[in-house]
Amino acid sequence: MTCRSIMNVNPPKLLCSSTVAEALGLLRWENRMNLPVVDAKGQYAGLFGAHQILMLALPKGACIDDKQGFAYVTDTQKDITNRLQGVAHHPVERYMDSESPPLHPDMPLVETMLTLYRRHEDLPVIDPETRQLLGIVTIRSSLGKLMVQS
Amino acid sequence: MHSGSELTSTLFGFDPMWISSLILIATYAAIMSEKINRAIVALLGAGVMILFGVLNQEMAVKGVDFNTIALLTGMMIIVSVTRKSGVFQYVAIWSAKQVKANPAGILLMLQVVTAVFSALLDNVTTVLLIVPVTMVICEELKIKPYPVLVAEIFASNIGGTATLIGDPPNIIIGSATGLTFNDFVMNLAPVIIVIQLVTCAIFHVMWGRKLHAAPENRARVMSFNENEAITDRRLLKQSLSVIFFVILGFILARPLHLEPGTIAMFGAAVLMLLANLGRDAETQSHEVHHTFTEVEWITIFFFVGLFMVVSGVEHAGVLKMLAEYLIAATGGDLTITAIAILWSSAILSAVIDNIPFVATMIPLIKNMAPTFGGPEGLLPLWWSLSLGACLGGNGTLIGASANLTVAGLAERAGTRFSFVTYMKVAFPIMLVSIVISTAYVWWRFL
Repeated sequence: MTCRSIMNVNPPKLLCSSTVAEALGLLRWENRMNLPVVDAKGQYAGLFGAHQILMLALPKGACIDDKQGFAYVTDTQKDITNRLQGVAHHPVERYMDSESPPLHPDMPLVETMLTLYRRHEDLPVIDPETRQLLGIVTIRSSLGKLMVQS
Repeated sequence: MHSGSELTSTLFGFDPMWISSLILIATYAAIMSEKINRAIVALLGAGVMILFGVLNQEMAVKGVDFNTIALLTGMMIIVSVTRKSGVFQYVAIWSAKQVKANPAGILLMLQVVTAVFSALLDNVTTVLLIVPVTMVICEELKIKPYPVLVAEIFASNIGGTATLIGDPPNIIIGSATGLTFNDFVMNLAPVIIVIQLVTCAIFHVMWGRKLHAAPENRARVMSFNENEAITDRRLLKQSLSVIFFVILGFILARPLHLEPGTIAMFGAAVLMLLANLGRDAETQSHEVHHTFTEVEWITIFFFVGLFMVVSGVEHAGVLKMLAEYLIAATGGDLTITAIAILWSSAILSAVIDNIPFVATMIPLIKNMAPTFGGPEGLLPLWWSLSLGACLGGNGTLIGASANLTVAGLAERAGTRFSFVTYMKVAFPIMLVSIVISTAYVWWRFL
C-alpha cells in the first residue's frame, strides 16, 4: 500500500492570492488545521493553517526565538484580534510554509504514517514531476480509513 | 617560531612556503565565498595541510590553542544554562521602563544593555537574546525596529571589544599573548566607553530624536511585568553566582596561575552541577545533552581547523617573511606599524571574517618582537589589532557574526536588512570609531 490509498482527492485549497481572512474562513468552514496553497496553474506552493495564524496573532518578536518566554507581555484578546485584523487582507503567499516537503503518491504507507506522526499536521500529496496538487492526507481521515480496513 | 628545516617532507617535494600559502589563500577564499560552511572549510584546509606534509598530525594538534577552545566552549555552556532563567529579558524590559518607555531613551538603554552583556558574554548570544525583546518593545510602541537593531549591532561589537571574553579576536589574542582579563579592561575599556558614548550620540541625532510613540503605546510597554520574564529564580541565582565567580576568576587569573579556559570550563561544570542537583540520572542526561547541543560547534570546529591552517603557514616561515615585509614597509617605526595594523584590521574586518584574519596576524606580529624590543614592545600592536578587528566588524553586514544574526532574526520578523543600506550608515560610523581608536592608541601607547 502507498500514500495514494489513504489520500483524499480534490481537497479544499487556497490560492496564493487568497487573503488571510479568506483562509481563516475556509479553515473554519472545512474544520481543518491547515490547507494546501496552489498557484494559478494549480501547482502546489505551500501550506497555510493554524500554525501560521497563531504566528500572526503573536508579537513579531515572539516567533523568532522559540526558546524565549514572553509571559511579561500583557496583550489582551483585543490586542491579538487587532494584530490579526492588521494582516487580514494580506495574501497567504506571504506567510505560508513553502519549505516543508509534501508527500508523493507512491510513498510507502508506513513512511506516510511516520511523516504524519512527525509533522503533526495534515499533508498535501503532489505529483513529483508536475508539482500538481493531487490530494491531501489528513490525520483524522487516514486513521478512519485504516480502522475501517482493519 | 619554527624554521622550515623542522618540517616533515612535503608531498612531491613542493616548497612548503608556496603550498602552505596556497592552502591559506584557498581557505580564506572559500570562507569568504560562504558557499561552504566555514567549519568544513577550515577542517578541510587543516587536512590538506597535513596531507601535503606541511604539518604532521602532532604539529597540527600542537597548533590548536586549547585555551581558546575551552574558554569559548565554557562560556557558551554558561550562557546556554543562564539564558533559561530569563535574566536577559528582565534587564532589557527593566531598562526600557527606566526611561518611561520613551523611544529615544529605549534606543539609548538597549545600546548600553547590549554593550554590557556583550562585554561579558559572546556577541552572537547577546543579540540572540536582545533582538526578540527589542522587536516586541518596538511593536508595542509602533516604531520601526531598524534603528534600534542597527544600534544594537554596534553596541554588541563595541562592548565586546572591552574585555578578553567579549569577542573571539580578543580571546585568541589574549590566549596567544598571555594578556589577561584585567589587561584588556585596563587598556581597552576606557576608549570603548568613549566610542560607545559617541556612537550613542550619533544614533540619537540620526534616529533617536525623531522616534516618537503615542502615550497609550508607551503605557503598553510600561505595563510589561519584567518579573514574569524570570522563569526560574533558583537557576537565576545559581547562574549569576557562577558568572560572578568566573569573572572574579578572570580578574584573579594571574595570581591564581590559571588560564581563562580552565576558569570558564570549571565554571560551566559547576553551573551544570548546580542546575542538575536533585534530578534523576535520566533527566540529568537529557539536560546535559541539551546544554551541549547549544554549544556552537560550528564555531568551535572552525577554530580548530583554522588554528591548524595558520600553524601550517607559520611553520613554513610564511608569516615570518610577511612580518619582515611589513617592518620594511613601515621602516620599523612602531607608530606607523601600530596605525597600519589598526586601520588595515578595521577595513579588512569589515569585509572578511575577523577570526581567521586575527589568527593569521598573531604569529605575524609575534615575529616583529625583535624589531620592537621584545614581547613588551608589541603591546601597542596587540591593542591596535584588537580595536581594528573588533570595531571594523561594524562596517558591513557581513563584518561580524552578530550583524548577520540580527539581520536574520529581523528578517524573520519582517524587517528587511540590505547590505548597501546598512553599509551606507554603518561604514562611516565605524570609521569614526577607528579615528577615536587611532587617537587613543597614539596617546596612550606610542
